[in-house]
Amino acid sequence: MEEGQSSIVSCAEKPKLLRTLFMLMVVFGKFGALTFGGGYAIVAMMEETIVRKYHWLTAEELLDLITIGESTPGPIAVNTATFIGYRLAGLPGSVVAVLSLVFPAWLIVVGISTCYLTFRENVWVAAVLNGIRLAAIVLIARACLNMGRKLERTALNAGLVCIAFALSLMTSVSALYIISGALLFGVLWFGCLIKRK
Amino acid sequence: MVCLTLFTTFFKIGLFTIGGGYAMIPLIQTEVIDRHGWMTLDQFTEFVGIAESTPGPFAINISTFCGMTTGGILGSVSATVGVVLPSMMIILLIAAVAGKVLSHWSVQAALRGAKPVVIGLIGAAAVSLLLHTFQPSLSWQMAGQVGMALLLFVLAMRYRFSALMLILCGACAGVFLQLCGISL
Repeated sequence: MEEGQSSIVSCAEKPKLLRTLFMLMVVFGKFGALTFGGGYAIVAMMEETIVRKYHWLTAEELLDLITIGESTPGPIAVNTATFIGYRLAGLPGSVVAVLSLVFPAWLIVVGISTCYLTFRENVWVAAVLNGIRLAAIVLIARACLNMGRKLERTALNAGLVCIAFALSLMTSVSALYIISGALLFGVLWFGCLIKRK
Repeated sequence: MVCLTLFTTFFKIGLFTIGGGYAMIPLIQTEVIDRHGWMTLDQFTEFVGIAESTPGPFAINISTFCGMTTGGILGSVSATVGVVLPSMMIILLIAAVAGKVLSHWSVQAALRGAKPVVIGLIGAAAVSLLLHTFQPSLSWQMAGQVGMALLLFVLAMRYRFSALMLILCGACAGVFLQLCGISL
């Protein structure tokens, strides 16, 4: 951590800055190319590399960062990359970290989707994709159930879940508006509760 | 032109993705599929599965794919940059100037409202995809689908299979049913 802060101060030292940028590129490039299964799998790998190997952050700082990631919009991996990059090497650091995270994933998916668009008419590929579709729906359902388990058990929360569920299934209101409404409702309802205390 | 629309659409999606990659699914469903018709629901569901078994953050994979099917390589760049930019800007703002903004009561209150709603939306996405995939009829096709879906669900919930394993099982199930002469 001390090293991280001092490297912002010493941005004038060009070779050191370049070395930090290179390290960021290698580490986040690895995250982008080698982790499966989205945000939390990457977080586990970050713990190993960033906290225990390079000591760029302490374990508590990483935990704080994950909490921030959960309460700000956007993919958690991108949020963490931005923050660590900024901490170590300022704005160039965060740009390098995010680009290295995104580029390998982008490249792989460009390749895969080209194959997908070419071969999906094939009977056997179509059979595989049909099976994958079922598995994907199961994964989405599991994500929903897991998130629901962590939610505080109150009547209000249950009501909000049901209202969002019904609005989304039965009307064609965009999810953008439903989430905006929820944010507004949160400010008014919970805001009043907090203020009263 | 398509690229610009892709960029703004995914910028909006990135801005409203609260609570990790899966929160993008209902947003993509309404913005990309219903509103712009850039891809079919079947394609989208297939790619959710493929994105889960591909390295890299889920959100990046899914936006790259949407961009790629709509506007080729340039489209994929626009969509991916669009989805990354809002979170980058917000985190930079927090890191650089406004570290305290997250603990402000209004932010906390807004998030408490959004959390359950996002869960409801993801649940609705799962149900609508399920309804779209199953065409109710008394046929071997239906029986095969329901059986496979139940099996995968048990593997996911009871035995906690990883996403990659589940996708592989799904792919094998698809081939198996095809061998039995049942196309899903």
